[in-house]
Amino acid sequence: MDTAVSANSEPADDRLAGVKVMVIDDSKTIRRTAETLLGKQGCEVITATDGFEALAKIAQHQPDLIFVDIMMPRLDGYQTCALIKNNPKFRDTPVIMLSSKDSIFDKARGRIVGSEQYLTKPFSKDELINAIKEHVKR
Amino acid sequence: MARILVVDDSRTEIHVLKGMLEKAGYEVETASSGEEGVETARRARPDVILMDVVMPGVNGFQATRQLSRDPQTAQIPVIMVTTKDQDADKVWAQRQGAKDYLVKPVREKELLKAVRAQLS
Repeated sequence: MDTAVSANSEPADDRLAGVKVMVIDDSKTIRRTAETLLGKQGCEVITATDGFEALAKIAQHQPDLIFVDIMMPRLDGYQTCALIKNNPKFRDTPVIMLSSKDSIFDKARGRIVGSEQYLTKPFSKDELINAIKEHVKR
Repeated sequence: MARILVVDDSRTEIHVLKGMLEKAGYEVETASSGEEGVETARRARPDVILMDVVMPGVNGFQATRQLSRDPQTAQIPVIMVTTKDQDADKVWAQRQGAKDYLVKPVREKELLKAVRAQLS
């Protein structure tokens, strides 16, 4: 433990530094929130507004972990996750579903399409950070 | 007070669920098969239906489908109450029209919370 770190300035967790995280959500508020929270932790954050846009960006940026909203226009979160998990190149990239509903059906569908975890909105900063720590092994 | 229809082929299960619901002040109707469940739902118009899945004859998925496709009963929320705990079962239940899904054994608190959610 580094006791020299002052108590009132929260140190960024160095386990998150440089982790490349993708956030796919059609809500600008969610994208901005995630970008700010995770950016402060030293993560590199890439955003996309729907599944279609995300697929191209995933191939280009190869994120370490992907947060994906369920309800989105064009390609929804389940379809997006299924496409990621069916691609041998990205199959091992952890996918975390984000949903505003705490529904047993959504959770079941999320697991069926291969996602690693399910977070209910509004999520807290700690939930986001813990999800990354849990699934991104370095 | 709201009326709840419990559909289950096990008398023990009906006894347990009925006990929990009556203690909470609900009026309870029961049916011991899918066919009887559909028939009772049409006649008694309960506010919520608790539906088992594995039953001889018309099973709970089929009964739920019949109820949700029938304009007379389509607006009555169905909660599956079953030992089947696979994700595919849950998704299938939703496709048949179920509004919620509880895995047996059901705890009293969880049951009442699910029922209240459908009534509100």
